Amino acid sequence: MSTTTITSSSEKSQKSRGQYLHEPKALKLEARDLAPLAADNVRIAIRSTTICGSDVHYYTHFANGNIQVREALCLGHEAAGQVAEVGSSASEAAPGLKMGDAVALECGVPCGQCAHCRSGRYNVCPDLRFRSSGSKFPHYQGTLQEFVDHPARWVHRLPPELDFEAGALLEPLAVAIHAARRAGPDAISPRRACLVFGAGAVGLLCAVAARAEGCRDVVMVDIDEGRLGFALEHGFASVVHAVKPRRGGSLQEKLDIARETATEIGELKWPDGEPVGRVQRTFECTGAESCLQSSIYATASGGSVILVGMGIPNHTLPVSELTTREINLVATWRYAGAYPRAIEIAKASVTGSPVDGNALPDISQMITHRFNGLDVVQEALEMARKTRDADGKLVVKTVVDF
Amino acid sequence: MAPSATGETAPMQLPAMSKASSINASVLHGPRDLRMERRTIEQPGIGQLQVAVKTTGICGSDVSYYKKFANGDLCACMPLSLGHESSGTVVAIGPQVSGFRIGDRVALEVGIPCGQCGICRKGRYNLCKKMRFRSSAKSVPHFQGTLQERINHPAMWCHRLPDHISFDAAALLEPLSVAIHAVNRATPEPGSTALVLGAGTVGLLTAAMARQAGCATVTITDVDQGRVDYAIAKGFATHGYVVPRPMHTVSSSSSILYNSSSSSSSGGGCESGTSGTSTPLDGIMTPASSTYSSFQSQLDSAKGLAADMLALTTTATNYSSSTSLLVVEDEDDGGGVDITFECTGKEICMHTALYATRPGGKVIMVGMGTPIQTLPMSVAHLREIDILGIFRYANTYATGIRLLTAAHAQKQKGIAGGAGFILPSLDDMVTHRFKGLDNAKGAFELASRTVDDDGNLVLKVVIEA
Repeated sequence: MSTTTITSSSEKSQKSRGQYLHEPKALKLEARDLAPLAADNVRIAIRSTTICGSDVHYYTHFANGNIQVREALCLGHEAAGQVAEVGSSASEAAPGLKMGDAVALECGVPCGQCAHCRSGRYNVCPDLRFRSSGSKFPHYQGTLQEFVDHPARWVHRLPPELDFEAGALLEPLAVAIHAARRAGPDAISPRRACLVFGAGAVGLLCAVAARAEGCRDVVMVDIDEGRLGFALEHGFASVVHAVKPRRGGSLQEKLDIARETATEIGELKWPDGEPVGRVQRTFECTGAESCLQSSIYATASGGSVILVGMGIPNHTLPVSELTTREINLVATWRYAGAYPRAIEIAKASVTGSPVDGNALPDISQMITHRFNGLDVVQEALEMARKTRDADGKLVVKTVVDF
Repeated sequence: MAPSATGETAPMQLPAMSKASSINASVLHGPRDLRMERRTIEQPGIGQLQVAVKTTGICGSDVSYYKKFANGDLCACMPLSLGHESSGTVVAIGPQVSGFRIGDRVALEVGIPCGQCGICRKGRYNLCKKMRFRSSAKSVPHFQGTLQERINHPAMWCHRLPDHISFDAAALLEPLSVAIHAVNRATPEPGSTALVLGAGTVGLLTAAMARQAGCATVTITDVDQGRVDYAIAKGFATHGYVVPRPMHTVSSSSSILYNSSSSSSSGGGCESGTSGTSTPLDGIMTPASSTYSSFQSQLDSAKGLAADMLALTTTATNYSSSTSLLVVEDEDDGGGVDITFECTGKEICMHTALYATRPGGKVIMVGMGTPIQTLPMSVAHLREIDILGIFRYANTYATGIRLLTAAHAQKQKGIAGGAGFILPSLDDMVTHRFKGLDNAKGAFELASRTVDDDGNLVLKVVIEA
């Protein structure tokens, strides 16, 4: 739990210091003026930001896929903090929200007017602005700064069981929950099982989301044995499998390798001794083409591959496998309406209580590396790029605390 | 001496009374090597009917086997009778069959699942691993198709026809089933919008089913003007778009991907190194080129096509300047259609589908197309567009018969639209007829074309007994 508190309004800061990316791998500490707080906003003193792969990608390339950064960009979007000031009409959107409250930020702010927003699928609102993303210009600045003014409608109060670090994790957890929801129920097989490609943070959280929905058998696959060991040790996965990274030359070779990987997975055994076979739901959390191909081969007829990880824009896929076995490719993009459930799941997770009768691993174990203060944001981003630190310890989630 | 009919369900060993008889069958021995043969057929076994096949429609997969002795990656490895879109008359009834009489007219559902496995028990029997489908080379020995004088078939997979459904229409219940199943999986909401790529039989019927299911607008597209015109004239779709032909062959040849020395089709024994396709219009289908710049330009073409297609049914500009009554200002214009049914199997059409579908929408891949495709998956991601595969059908024949009956009843009462969508006539879709199994060759040659020698539209070619 954070020890700093917000004091009276006379100490309101007019500036927010933050780390701004100006070029690849070049951050500059800047103190920027804060505009007067909008009526429907709250000013949040950021306390914890966990680093995501997209933050690392922007940091390294000054771009993310097709998106070019066009001005100095403050990164970070997985964040929680304390309310420092409440706008005059903020209570309409967030009744009872007051100074000092601990909150998590939902960093994607949609337009609220279009058909997508009205139907609840605001994550695909074309005018949605997402903090730390270069997709809109001027850029909607991220949370690796002291203060963020955010619409009250898009902050979520944290229960006392969740510290700021857990509050930051709500964002990637929301991604996972959204993915599990889009996957839908498993209507075919009697066993509640799923397969997860990628034992990084997103894969681990998809395992958590699946368990919260009653999925007790989770097989996780990765090329890194350390990540798999972590997943198994902390109860994210029931069964793990390390895939030897092999690169096929021709397209045919690649597909053959993908098929072999799927076969290997099928031959694994669940804890009760039954063969894993093909599962109904596969969460693809790597974005790698080879994994997407394997996911298709590994999924049972009538099942779904849930696309969570994003890689290069174009992938070559065994489409005939999708059609002849009626596999669904379920696309996911961030999340919508997932924070309340994320709070419920996170609370159960960190307190060791079940959710709907389902036991969950402790997500706070995922925070393996901590950095304190604005001055070390660059080091944090450098750490988040790695899978192992200088001592060989596994890097799962890196957090910057203020 | 004629070989006995291989792949037929083995009849029970009845006492010496059982009589085999001999029949004519059209049998494919290799590419374009179609022969008439005599076969022996037993009396129908337990649970079986013997059906004299009357009408068989020819489909793209039949044409593919005819031309290549293969369908996609699937190679035939023994003589194979083609045909799976059929109707006929009951001429004999096996033991333990009730509900049928000699002379009953039936439509044949030619896929026989095991009925026992988990997926069969859940009703998705089209996905049964032990499925045996007549005319497909998937199972070995091959389950022979319906281009035979008579076949023994399980009674539970023969569907009795009311008098008003002709043999032609009944044969078309098979592709109609594909359309019904595709729309069932897509679950369009009433008043939603759909796009159908491809105006062959499957595309037309899928478009009609989308309208039947409540879509307010259904835009159908094809490279062939005649087919698009037919679709609009007969009411299969509400809007039509003819794709400019040069755009279809823009992808540079990637036969390099398939002709490379290390690769041959995964189906052992195929002579051809390139994957075939069930779409009769094409010979070789080329997936995306390996060079980025031409793939990108292909994506740009697809994006442009999608925009043109969408422009037919939406306008962001001045409503009063629109010339068509069916173009309305759509405040819900979410940037695309709710559902796109991709019925061509071509890669560039999948690209177009992704660009044409609104965020949160679905792309339904109907039918077998190019087996391996390079897709702009980032488009699917960012727009949360789901991609659903379709394989044949399950539990659709009764629905098809009911729909044809409803359409017939509405026409009898003289109600022309307004009281609900009336399925266009399936009979009218039969444009060419070949009489006698020995004339099958002509049917296959014609079925791969879109127009005949006189310039008339070729839609569905049937072979009649």
